[in-house]
Amino acid sequence: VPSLPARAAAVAASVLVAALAVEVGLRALGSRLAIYDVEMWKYARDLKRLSANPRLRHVHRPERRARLMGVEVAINARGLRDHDYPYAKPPGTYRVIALGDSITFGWGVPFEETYPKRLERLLNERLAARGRRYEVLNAGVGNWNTVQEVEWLRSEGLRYQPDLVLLGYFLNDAEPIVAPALDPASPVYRSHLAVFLWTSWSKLRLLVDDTGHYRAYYRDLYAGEGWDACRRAFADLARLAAEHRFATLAVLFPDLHDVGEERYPFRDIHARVVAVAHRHGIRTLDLLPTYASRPSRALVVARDDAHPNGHAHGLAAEAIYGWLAAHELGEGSAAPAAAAGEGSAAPAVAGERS
Amino acid sequence: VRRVRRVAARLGHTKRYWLLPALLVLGLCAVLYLIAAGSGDEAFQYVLY
Repeated sequence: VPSLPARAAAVAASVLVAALAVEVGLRALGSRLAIYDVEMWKYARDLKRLSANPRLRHVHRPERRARLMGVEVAINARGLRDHDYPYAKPPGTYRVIALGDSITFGWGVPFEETYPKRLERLLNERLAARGRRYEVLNAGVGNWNTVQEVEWLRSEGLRYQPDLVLLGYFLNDAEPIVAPALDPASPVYRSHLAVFLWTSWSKLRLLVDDTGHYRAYYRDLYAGEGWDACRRAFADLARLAAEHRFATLAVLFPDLHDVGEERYPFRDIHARVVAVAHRHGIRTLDLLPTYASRPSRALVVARDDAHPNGHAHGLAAEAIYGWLAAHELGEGSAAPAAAAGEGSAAPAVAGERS
Repeated sequence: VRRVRRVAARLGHTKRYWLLPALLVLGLCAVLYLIAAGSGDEAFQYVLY
């Protein structure tokens, strides 16, 4: 039998070698394994930075590239996942800005398959007779909420002189802005294995504690301060639209875990969001009917990642194009009450303050 | 040959010290991976900015 120090050394060396093997394996196979949390961490580490503007909290690092969830992502010189566009709008151009979070950004979706780029192509192909050129800028940033999106529009996006602003809305856009749970300055932040263990541990705790279930989590957001701030952001967006004369359309993306129209568990929350938008003259397009007849697995990026995939982005682009074509690109008169029937099943919600 | 056999035998007798911990670490990671992959994205609120 080896001595105690020898045994301890053997155990320590064994653990260290195994940990190193996993670290190397995660780095080498990371993109192929596409572990959601690790990929999100890579996104934060490689493509995001803290902003000097506390209302934005984080922005994209300009001119950076990364491979995330098996997809190439390139950030332009002004922090957008898009081509470079000059601030000054070329004559004869109709410019759309798509605000949003990781859904609009196109998490797990190749650039040309994201709904802003598909919409841009649809507008240019089908409305070519109007003699205008259409540009749809993708201003989506992962983990942004409505407050951050409207703040970016106010502080940066208006320079692009938009004619129309699409606000991509998802249930977690009522999240408050919180400090990162894992400090980017920590050495732990540099290790794939450490991040994997840390996120797995967090997930295990959530599985044990039922409050971590996504349904309860989303629902609780609408009783908190994040929802109050979100409603104020809708008011801010409406004010910017009036001051700078652009049209607005809020596009509601349903949670894709369970999109059966009758079963969908967040219909009441959609109705509350629609009610707030309409109160401020922002028209809405709810994509739930667009997705409702389709199985969830055909719409999501991966089994453990409910972001819309390329197919779902295509459906969204068609639905938005259809709405815009039917409403004169949003330039017609704003009619909040009439908008309730536009695929949004949005009855007036009593008690929803603006 | 005798020496190789002796080393192999010694390694065989002590594998609980040099092999078992590594297998436990690898097994733990595999289990965590399967749980993470099968549990949906409930951990999304742990934002890494």
